[in-house]
Formats: sequence, structure tokens, C-alpha cells
Amino acid sequence: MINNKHDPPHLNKKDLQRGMIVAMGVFGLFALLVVQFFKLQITQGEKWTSKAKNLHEIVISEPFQRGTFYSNASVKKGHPSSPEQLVFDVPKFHLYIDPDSIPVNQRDTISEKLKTITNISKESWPHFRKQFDYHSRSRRLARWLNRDTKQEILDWWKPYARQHEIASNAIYFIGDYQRSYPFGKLLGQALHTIRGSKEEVTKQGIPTGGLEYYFNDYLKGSLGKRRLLRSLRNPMAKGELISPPQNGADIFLTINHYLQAIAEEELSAGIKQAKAAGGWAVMMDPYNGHILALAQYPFFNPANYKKYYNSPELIDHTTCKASTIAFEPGSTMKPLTLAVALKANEVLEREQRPLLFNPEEKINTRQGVFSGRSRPLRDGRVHNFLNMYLALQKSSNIYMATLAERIVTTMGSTWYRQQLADIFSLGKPTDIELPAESSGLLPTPGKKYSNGVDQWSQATPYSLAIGHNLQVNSFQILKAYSVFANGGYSIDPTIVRKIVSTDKDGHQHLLLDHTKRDYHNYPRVINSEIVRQIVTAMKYVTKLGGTSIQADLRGYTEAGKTGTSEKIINGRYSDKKYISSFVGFTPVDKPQFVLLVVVDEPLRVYIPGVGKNWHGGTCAAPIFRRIADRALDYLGITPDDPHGYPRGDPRHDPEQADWILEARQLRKLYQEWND
Amino acid sequence: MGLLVRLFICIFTAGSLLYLYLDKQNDVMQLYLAIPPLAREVRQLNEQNTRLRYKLERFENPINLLKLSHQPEFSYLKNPSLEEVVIIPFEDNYDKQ
Repeated sequence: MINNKHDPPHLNKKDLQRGMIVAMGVFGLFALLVVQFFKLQITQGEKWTSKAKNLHEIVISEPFQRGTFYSNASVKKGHPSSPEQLVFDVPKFHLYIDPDSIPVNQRDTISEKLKTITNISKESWPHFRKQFDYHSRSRRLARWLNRDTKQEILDWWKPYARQHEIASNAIYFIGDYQRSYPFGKLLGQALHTIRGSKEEVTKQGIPTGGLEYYFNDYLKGSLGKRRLLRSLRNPMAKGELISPPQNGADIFLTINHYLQAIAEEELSAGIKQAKAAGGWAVMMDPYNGHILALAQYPFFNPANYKKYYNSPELIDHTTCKASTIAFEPGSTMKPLTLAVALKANEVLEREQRPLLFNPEEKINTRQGVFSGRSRPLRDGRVHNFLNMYLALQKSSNIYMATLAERIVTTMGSTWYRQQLADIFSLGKPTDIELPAESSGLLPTPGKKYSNGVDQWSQATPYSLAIGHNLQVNSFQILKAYSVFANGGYSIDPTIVRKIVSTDKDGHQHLLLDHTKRDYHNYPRVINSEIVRQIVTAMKYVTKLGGTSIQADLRGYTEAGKTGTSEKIINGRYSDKKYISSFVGFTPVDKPQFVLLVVVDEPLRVYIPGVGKNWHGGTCAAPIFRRIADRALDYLGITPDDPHGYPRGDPRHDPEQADWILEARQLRKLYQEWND
Repeated sequence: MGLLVRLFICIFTAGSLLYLYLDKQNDVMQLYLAIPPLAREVRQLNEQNTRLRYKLERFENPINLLKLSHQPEFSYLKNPSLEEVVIIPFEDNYDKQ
């Protein structure tokens, strides 16, 4: 073929085919590229973005705050104030190092400097220095540093790291929250604490007991997440908060911090005066069941919990004995016996049968022989004849046992036991919001003890009538006496006013509300006439001729009863160790509170001019008086016995003091019957 | 010549728009960089608030205040009786206006 330069090149079919194939190939490669782009950017876009982010960033946990406990500031009327924080979380920092980033020749210098700033104890020095030699990216050096210490370390470290060309994040801090107690040991046994070390993964606090344990599920929070930049120059400064932490719910207690402080102060002074092993005092509002104070001595300081748990002697002081210890109430049971007897009268009157007894009735109390008892009952001193008011004033065992005998004979043992359970809830836990509440013991006919002995025998009613052969915890006693204080209603005690949680958006949710409790919403267990008679009898106890003159308040009326019982040690009554108590309420008309004081193992000595130190009237009654006097003064309650002050006080007027005429009349009656 | 002018105008416009965009990006980045120190400051203020509140609570500890009340210089202080306190019910009229 002759090539002519002016002719265009002639493409034959084969060339065209080859050209198409090449073009298709190039197009196909481009198409693959586009598909790959689509796959990477669109369908797998999120996956690769997150991988890239992980290379550049890390996500760390953001600590949460455990719920706070608040006191009750609404008790004192006309004195508006905010609830005080009894326990709350304070921000602290843990010091960490990245040993692999710290040159070996700098480790001694850095550790010495950090030791000085953090003020580590000498015993911890070897362990402290050893952390630098681990082949690791993270070792903890110190815990719970405050911001000032952290800032001091950073102020030294930044220029040092720059000067010696060490990565600035070779030393870093992790924020945390530490449980703090601004009021120290106040309410220690009830509040308790959490351990110094938290759960590894969830960072939840591990409670040691008390309310921290009981309400752990409410107090717990959940960790948040924060994104930080991976950079040698970035000193682990805070980055973006991905999800905020969820703090625990806050618990508002019924405890008033001032009443608590008053109770603790007077309790410790009284226990020391009685030379007792310990004791506790509980104050309750009889109209709504709110526990206003819960004091226990020796105290427990939650901030130093390790000291207590590492000592066999001190560990006993960490439990809240008001709920965990059930004891024989002794003579504090006697008003309950009288109430049951009067209830029997009510039933008999309805059935038009002869009454069990008359409160004014003159009953022979010279001899204490009762069928079923191997030994006769005795009173503190011999009384020939007593009526109901004298019997309670003198705390007569024989009178009470006589009534019990009549109850059992007329109404039956089962009825008697049922009344104690139904009216006063004896033998049943009160469900107070504290762990390990003892349910106490009320013997039951037909049941046996663990040693095979029958719980109920012929002699049991006499023992029950005087507060023996049964066990009650302090909240059960308060609940029983609240029946007399509020006019006949059985109200459950509670230590919580409300529980409030705040969600991540800041909205508050009420999880539990006991603020509007009212005794009228609880069952009435005895009528007001029975209450009136029992309260009248109890008023004599703290007056002239009574066993608890030392519980007579200055300027206020009160009604109460003492109790003294031998402690049961290894299954037997001890003749050296006692548990003594006084329980009462004040003022008598519209009581502000019911208060129980328990003294554990008062010294068994006789105090000349005063009496037996181990008796409730001697060791527990004065504590009751001092706590009640100061509490009423704090609450601003107007004295309702304006002349009921001791001799020497200008307000003292024995002729006008409350219940003095009645007490004198009763004493005259006693003298007529017994002298 | 006309083509050159048109080309110049296009390049100039595109360049200006790009400049404005980058400038806005710089402003946004400046704000973005300012956030962490401000957040840190807020956090520090909150922490300081908590520390001060803790110190205040420690001083206002009722045990501490009761101890102070026993001292002679504070013996004149008394708890007011409820009869001495006048309680005025508060009506919030703001919403009614």
C-alpha cells in the first residue's frame, strides 16, 4: 500500500477492537476506583472514621458523683433553712505515671520531687519508687490528692519535662470523687461509708454498711465518656464530653443535724458519767414516724473506718445498735401491760362481763407467788397495796404479774400474746431503713426455742408483763410508745424523707416521698381513753415518789418509764451486766418527740444520795432529761410547765408546778395504804 | 484579550470565595480552641465551689456551733420561742401580673 501523507490513518476493525478493549479496561479500572471510594466513604464510612479517630483520640471514663445525704431542716418551725449535706463527694485526683516514657536517668529525681510534694509516708517510699521501674504505660503513684497538690505538681513538671525533653503526659492525673464528711462523726453508725478502693470496671463505691449499704442501688451512678486527643504535647487535658455521667440519687433524711448533735453531746457525757460500756439514744416524731436523731456512743467516724475495722475492740462500734440489738425491755414494758389490761376491760364491757380490774382498785402486792413460777416475784421494796398509778410509779412487778394472771385467766394466753403483737407490733420488724434490723422475739404458744424448750409456759405471761422473756429493738419500743404519744395510732418509723434523682438533662425525679406522712393514715390500735389513762399513770413516774425523778424536765411536762434488765450472756442472765433505759415523750399534750435512751453495761455501783447507778432511773433518765430539755429549747417550744424548775431557779414554784398536786395526793394514798 | 479578562475575573472570584471560606474556618477554629480553657475554668470554679462549701459546712458543723455556744462570749444567744417568731405567708404574685 502506498502511504500518502495527506490521507488520514486508516483504522481497521482489529485496531478498533483493541482500542475498545483498552478503553473498557481503563473505564473498568476507574469504575473499580469509584466503587472502592463508595465502599470506603459511604458504606464503610463510619467504620473507617472511628478507626481513624481511635488512632488520633482515646475515650476515657468521666467519673460520676455518688448520691448525697441531706439532713432535715424543716423540723424547727419558723426557721427556714436549707438541708445540710451530711455526706457528699468532693473532687480529688489520682497521680499516675507512664514509666516507659520516663528516661531511666531521670527517675530518681522525679520520684524524689513527687514524694516531697505528695508528702508520702516513709513506709511507702520503696513502693513509690518501684512504680517507675515497671515496664508499663500506666502506674498509679498516689491517690486522693487535692487540686492544690495537683497544681503544685504540674507547676513543677511542665518546665521540667520541657527542659529534659520528656513527654509531658508521662505524668498525668485521673479525676475521681471522694466521700467526705463535713460533720465528722455525726450520725456515723447510721451513715457509714464506702471503701477507699472502688470497683475496677464500673468505679462504683463499695459500701461498708449503714445507709450507704441499704440505699446502694439509689446512690450508685454511671460513668460518662470523654474523648481526648492522642498527642505527646497534649498533657491529657480535658477534651470533648461524649456522654455526661449519671450521678446517684440524693437521699434526704429525717435526721435534724442540730438535734443529732445535741443527742450525741449529752449521750457521750451521760455514758461517761455512768461509766458504761456504751449507749444510744433515738428520737422519733410520733405523728409522722420521722426519726429526728439517732445517736450512739462510742462514736464511729466514717472517714477513719479502717481504724475501726482493723481493731477487734473498735469494730463493735460500727454497727447501728438501735436496730441490730434486741434486748429485754424490763419495766418499760409495764405501760404496755396496762394498755392490754385496759383493752381487756373494753372487750369485757362490750360483752357485758365483769371487768378485769379498776385502775383505782386497791390490789394486794405483798406476795409474789404465781402458779407456774418456781420462785416468787419481788418488787424493789415491799408494797402492801397499790393501784394502777402507784404500780407504775413504783414499778411494781407483782402488780403487773397480777394483771397478767387475770388477763390469761379471763381472756386466754393466745389473746394476751395477740394483743402484744397487734397493738404494739412486738416480735415484728419495723422495716426501718437500716440493714440487719433485729425482729426481736415474742414467745409463741406451741413453738420451741432452738434448744428444744417451749417458748410459752405457764410462767411466761408474768415475765412478759414485767418485760422479760421477750426481746425488742429500740425502734420497736419507740413505735410502741408513739401509740401513747399520738393518741392511739401505730405508725412505722422511718429515717428517710425523700429520695430525688437528677437525670443528665438536669430534671429531678421524686423516687420516694415520706414528707406527707400522717398518723391518721395508720391504724388506730387503742382508743383515746386508754391512752389518757396510761399517760396519766406515766406522768407520776417522773414526779415525787416515782422511780425517775431525774427525768423531770425543766419547764416542760413529760411522761415516761424506766427499765433495767440483766443482760443475757451465753444464754444466762448476768448479775453484773445490765442494760438500762428510759423512754418518754414531751410535752405531754401534743408531744414534739418520743425519746429512748439506752445505757449498755452501766457500772454496778451504789451512788450515795442518788441510788443504784445501774438502774435506768439513775443512769438513763438524766440523759433523757438533758437531751429533751435542749431539744425543746432548740425547737422553740414554749414551756408548758412554767413553774416546774428545780429549787434555786427563780421560776421554781412547787405549788404551781405541773402535776404536783396530783403527785402529792397519790403519795398520801400510798402512805394510807402502806404505812 | 477578552478571554484573559474573563479568566482573570473567574480566578479572582474563586480566590476571594476561597479566602472568605478559609477565614470563616479560622474564626470557627479560634472559637473551638477557646472552648477547652473555658470549660477547664468552669470546672475549676465548680471544684473550688465544692471545696469552699465543704469548708463552710465544716465550720457550720452543729457540733462545732454547739461548742461555740457554750463559750461565755456567745452566752447571750438564745433560741427564739415559736411565740416570738412571726410567720408571714408568702404569696408569689409574679405569675399573677
